[in-house]
Amino acid sequence: MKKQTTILVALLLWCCGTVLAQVTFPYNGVKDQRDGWYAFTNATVIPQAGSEIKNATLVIKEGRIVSITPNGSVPEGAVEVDAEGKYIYPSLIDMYAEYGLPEAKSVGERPRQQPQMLSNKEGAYGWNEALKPEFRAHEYFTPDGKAAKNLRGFGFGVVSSLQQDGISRGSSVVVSLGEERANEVIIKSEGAHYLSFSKGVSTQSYPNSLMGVMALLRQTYIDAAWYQDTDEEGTNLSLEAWNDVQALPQIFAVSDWQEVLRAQVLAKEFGKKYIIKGSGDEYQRIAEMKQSGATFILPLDFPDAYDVTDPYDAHQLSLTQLRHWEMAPTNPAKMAEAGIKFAITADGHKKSSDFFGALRKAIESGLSEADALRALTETPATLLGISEEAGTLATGKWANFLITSAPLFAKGTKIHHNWVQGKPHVMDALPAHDLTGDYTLKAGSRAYNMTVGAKGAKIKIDEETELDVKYSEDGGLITLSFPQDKGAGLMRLSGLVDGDMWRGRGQDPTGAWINWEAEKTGGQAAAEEKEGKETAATAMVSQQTAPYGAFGWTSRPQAETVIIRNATLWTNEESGILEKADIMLQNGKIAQVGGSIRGPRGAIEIDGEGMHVTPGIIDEHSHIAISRGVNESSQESTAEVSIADVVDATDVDIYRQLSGGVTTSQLLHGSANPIGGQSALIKLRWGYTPEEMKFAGAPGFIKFALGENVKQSNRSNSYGIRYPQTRMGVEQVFENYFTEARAYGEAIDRGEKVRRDLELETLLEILNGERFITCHSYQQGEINMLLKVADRFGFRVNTFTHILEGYKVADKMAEHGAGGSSFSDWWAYKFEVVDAIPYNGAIMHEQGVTVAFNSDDAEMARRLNQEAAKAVLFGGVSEEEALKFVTLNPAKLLHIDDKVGSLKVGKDADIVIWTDNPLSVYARAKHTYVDGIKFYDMDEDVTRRAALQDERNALIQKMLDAKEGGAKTQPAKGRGQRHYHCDTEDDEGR
Amino acid sequence: MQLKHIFLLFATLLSSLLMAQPPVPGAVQAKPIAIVGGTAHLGNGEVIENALVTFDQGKITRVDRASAKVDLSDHEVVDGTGKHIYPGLIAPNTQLGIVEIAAVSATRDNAETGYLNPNARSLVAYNTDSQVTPTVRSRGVLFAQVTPQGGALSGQSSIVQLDAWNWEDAAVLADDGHHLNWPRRRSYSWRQGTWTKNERYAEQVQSVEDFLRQAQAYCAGADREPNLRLASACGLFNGKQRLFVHANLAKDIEQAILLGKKFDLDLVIVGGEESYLVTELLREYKVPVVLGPTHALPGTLDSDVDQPFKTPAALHEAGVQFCLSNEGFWQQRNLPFQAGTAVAYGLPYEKAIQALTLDAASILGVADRIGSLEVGKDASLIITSGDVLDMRTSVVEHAFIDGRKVDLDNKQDQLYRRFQTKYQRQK
Repeated sequence: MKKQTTILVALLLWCCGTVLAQVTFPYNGVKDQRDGWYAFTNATVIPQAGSEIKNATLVIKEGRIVSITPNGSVPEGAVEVDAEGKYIYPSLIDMYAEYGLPEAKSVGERPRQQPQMLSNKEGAYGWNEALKPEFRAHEYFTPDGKAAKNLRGFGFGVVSSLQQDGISRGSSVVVSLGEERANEVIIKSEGAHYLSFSKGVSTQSYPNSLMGVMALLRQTYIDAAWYQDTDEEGTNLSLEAWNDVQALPQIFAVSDWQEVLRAQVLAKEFGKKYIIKGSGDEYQRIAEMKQSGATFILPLDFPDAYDVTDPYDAHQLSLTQLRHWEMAPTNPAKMAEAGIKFAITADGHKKSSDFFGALRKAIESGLSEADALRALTETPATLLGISEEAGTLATGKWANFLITSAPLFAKGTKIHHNWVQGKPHVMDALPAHDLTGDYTLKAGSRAYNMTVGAKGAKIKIDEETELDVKYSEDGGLITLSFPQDKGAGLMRLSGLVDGDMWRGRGQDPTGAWINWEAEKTGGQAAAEEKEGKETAATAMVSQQTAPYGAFGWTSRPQAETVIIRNATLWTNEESGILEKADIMLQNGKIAQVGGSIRGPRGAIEIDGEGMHVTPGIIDEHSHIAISRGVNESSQESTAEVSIADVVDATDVDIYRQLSGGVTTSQLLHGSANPIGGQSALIKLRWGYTPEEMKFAGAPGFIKFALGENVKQSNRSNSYGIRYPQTRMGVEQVFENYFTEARAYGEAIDRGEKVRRDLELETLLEILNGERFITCHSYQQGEINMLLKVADRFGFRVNTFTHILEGYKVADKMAEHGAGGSSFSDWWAYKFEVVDAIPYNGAIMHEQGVTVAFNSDDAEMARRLNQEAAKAVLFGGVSEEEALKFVTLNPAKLLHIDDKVGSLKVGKDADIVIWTDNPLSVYARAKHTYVDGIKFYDMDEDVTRRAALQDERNALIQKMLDAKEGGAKTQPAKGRGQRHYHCDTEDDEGR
Repeated sequence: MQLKHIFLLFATLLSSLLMAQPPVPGAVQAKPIAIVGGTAHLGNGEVIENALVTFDQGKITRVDRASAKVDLSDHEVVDGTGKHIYPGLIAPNTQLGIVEIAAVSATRDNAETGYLNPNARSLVAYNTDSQVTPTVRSRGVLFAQVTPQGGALSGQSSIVQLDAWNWEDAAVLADDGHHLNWPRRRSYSWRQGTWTKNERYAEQVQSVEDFLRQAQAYCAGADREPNLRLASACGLFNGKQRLFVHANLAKDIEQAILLGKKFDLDLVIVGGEESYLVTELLREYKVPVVLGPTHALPGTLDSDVDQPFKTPAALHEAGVQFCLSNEGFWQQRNLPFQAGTAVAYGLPYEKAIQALTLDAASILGVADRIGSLEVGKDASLIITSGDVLDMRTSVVEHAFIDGRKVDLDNKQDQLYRRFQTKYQRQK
């Protein structure tokens, strides 16, 4: 039955093929259209990953496969190609290639050091230069013979070619790698829509942060949907194109595993299904990758070993870097093992030998050959929607296949032919005859036993003596040379190959002409080379931890039932400071406080004698754990961006701050613009994913800023373009945006159909009391100004941060109900802080303002308890109240004091055990608990350090061995760390 | 109530008189002074409980137990009971007095333009009328090594006392040393997230070495054409000046030591983030370290989270001579707490005091005059109500420089009083 169908399809194709051969193009001379009817015989055909047909006959005609049959006969009229001993594979498909397209170039120029507010692109396009959904690769595509040849060397027959530039990169074109006209090689004019988190060559200022990219994508999804339903916008070709490309597969390129999760956030919000072009570090969080439900395109980007010969150089490398060298090749295997569907791309590889080298590494690291082949054939074909045409060898599909000398992924395998749509491309001509085997060679008066291998031959004289024979074959003629005897002159022979018999004439070392012949006496020499296998066996030394680096967890820590006895409890409640009291943590909550506790069986008992227990420290103003940019500084208002989109769960500062007793941090947007972005409130759950770190049930916040940073006072004058440049302008920014937001809200209330505007929506939340402000501020005048703006618009300024002149208007703040989150003692770093005083906190506190001390600094955050002590030193705040400056008060300011901030039954078990009075410079955090889970333990930390050193050393030794064994190395460039402050501004949107 | 109001009125008057002016420098010691009782931390590692410290005409005359029978009838007696007495603290490597507001260039005199500026002298730029200085000395820091920055050779620092009419009065030791910022062998690329090699590193090191070679020859010869740059370095070769090399990486420290040996220089390492890796070498070559801020983040991602906190203890245990420092200018008021943290992480307490006093004085070359409570030394000391290293207790009640009583008032305290008045009136 099946066979009949096959024949039927074949007949159908035959007829259709002839019809399709008509083209509009004129031709010159006598028409020469051939049907390309071939039969490949005696080959091992691998029609698709996991199956194999030995001694198969593959018949193709007019670019398509007609049949594949075991021991099949050659149809009359077909050209026979004897492929004995050869392998035939479907040719490979790369769905992430840049081929035959012009290089992306910036549109126009951006004046040096000046902001560019709008796109430079002329025409009825959208406002942002980094969004190019209108770029249709097929309109720009020109076949490029040299590049095609190179790609065919990789084994590719079809690629999806895109311009790798921009956030929306437009659509790709799926092409075969033939040498024909563009018309003929384009298989699918629109392959997929490609996206990324990088704005590429766009010179426009927005977005200059990762969170800006996220916001831009969100708003674009919304705008495009709105555009479809309304004519308010006029013509916007970009939005039109955006809507068009939504029907295609959506491929999202990311640069690390956290970006996979970020892309999936967008996917979920807008009902998209992204194929993720990964970065190769997915093995670090396999479970999350699996859970994301995404399909992947994986690069094979495996780093060379670092040169760690110099111990000081090695010292600069991080554990993550060391591990990545060892583990990156396991990435595809781990993904396959987890049952995650993926394609493989050669993106990043310039040479085919490097690509196959990397593939072999991946296979040696556990990827099955079938999975490897599938990821390069069937999977990309399916994802690109061309599986009817390509990806496997089956009747009716394109005749896109490879003829190889041995199994495709084996070392030393040559690709002889790469057939593209039935057209042969010869890389390495098929030998007329398989030459390998054992021969008896007679040359003149001498007779030898010769063994011919794939690369060279040997003559065996006796047990000890072997002679090297050089040979080359070309078009059935053969040349041999070898020493007549050990150390003697060369015999030089030339002749023809006639099946198993070679014969011809030659000269011996004396120059005398001789006859010679060689006859094959035995089968093929062992094809398998011995090298290649030896690297596989070495054991892996990298630990799997979360986060994937120093101080990570090998298994996730669990909440414990803990009783701390006889400690000094700083309750921050009416009961004040309790001496010699017990506290119990259970199920992640504070279960009992005070007195002597009879705990449940199995509870962990801690002797708290001499220790102090406080609520965990809450940093109201932090910039740790943020990926790619703390400021979206391109516009005066960026209320639409959110740090919550870009939390970096791998930042080692999380662990460092746990060691200083911090349990909750508000990750704030910077202070580059009057209306900044939304913040993220996180608990320092080290080792968790960004989403898992977020403080559940906390209200939203947004950063505002006043003064020198927003008016760009401390910059070169060429920046003096972006509004505002004075404190006068700052007020007007707020007036303007809140007026807009109010109108937006009123329109919604009237039931008008409005374009959902994420920026105004956020501001409207402020007006409605649903979102709170933390405002960067210094001078009393501007503080007062914002209070008055808020009064006029009927909202409350929740928190002034920095607020170094708060002491001058503490009465006004108290009256308004604004809190102050300040530095304990910073000043003199810029003009607006010349009147800052360390008594600021004490005065505001006395005037009834809720006062917090914050860090705004990754280092200081580890010692916020010491900063609190300065409220005692400067202004005589009581110790009990001073500790609240870094615990309960920030909790109040953040509206989370019902959950954290004091030792109260039912609150989250976020606590710190200190070795001393927490306000003393001598106090060290012994244990830090978040939700009853011990995330930091002073003693365990010591153990971890030892384990870290051991693992580092094992990896370094392994790298040294690799170098010794001849592996390529790269210089030991250590990974560094970026510490953000309020005013860090760089273009990180790229 | 009445009394309080009078006091407030007085305070208001006083503050409005003094507003925006740093306090008047203390008058020359007119009468012998005796501090009776209290714990004296001598700065050399010794402690005397219930101590007696006397000084006259600006010099310390007695350091003893309070039980000693001494006639103090002509002395002004300060009751030290329950207090702590320390030598005035010394802040090495600071821009105090040469930067007033960091972001305002008109107030910055810390970095001259150019790569080799050995002839620049910080002393002449030192502003005795800075509003920042009084806030620092009120925390017990009475001396500073005012240090230029920028380029490779930044210029010469000077040791000043922090209660003076002008820079001449202020100088304790003018032009104490030169400062070399060891060329950076790498730079951080945030785009790549990694450190990358400085391709000009060898050339930059060479230019410094060439300069020293030229200067050495110049200083040895007679009748040379005048050259300000070369001449300014002669102190390095005749033992009058030290070379402070600002270096953090182990390799940089090693290379600096080599350079010091090559030119037979009196070498001091400043910063020394990775000094804990090369303690043997530092001890072997007797190179002291002005350790950078204890309150710093670890140098590499994998470093122990408390590495900078415990580096002082590591140097101490390894027998390396070192003192402590803090970066910047206004930040010097937190200098004592840098030592406090070092104590929390293993440095013995008196050793920490020594690292802010006598060891700092020795490393800066002024130990003959300041740094410890010893007879014959300058009467420059502080009296605190509690432990000076702990912010919980670090209240400085009195300070003396050369026996002169230092006014501990400052702009920030004035502003505090001013606004206390505002809120008092509202009651």
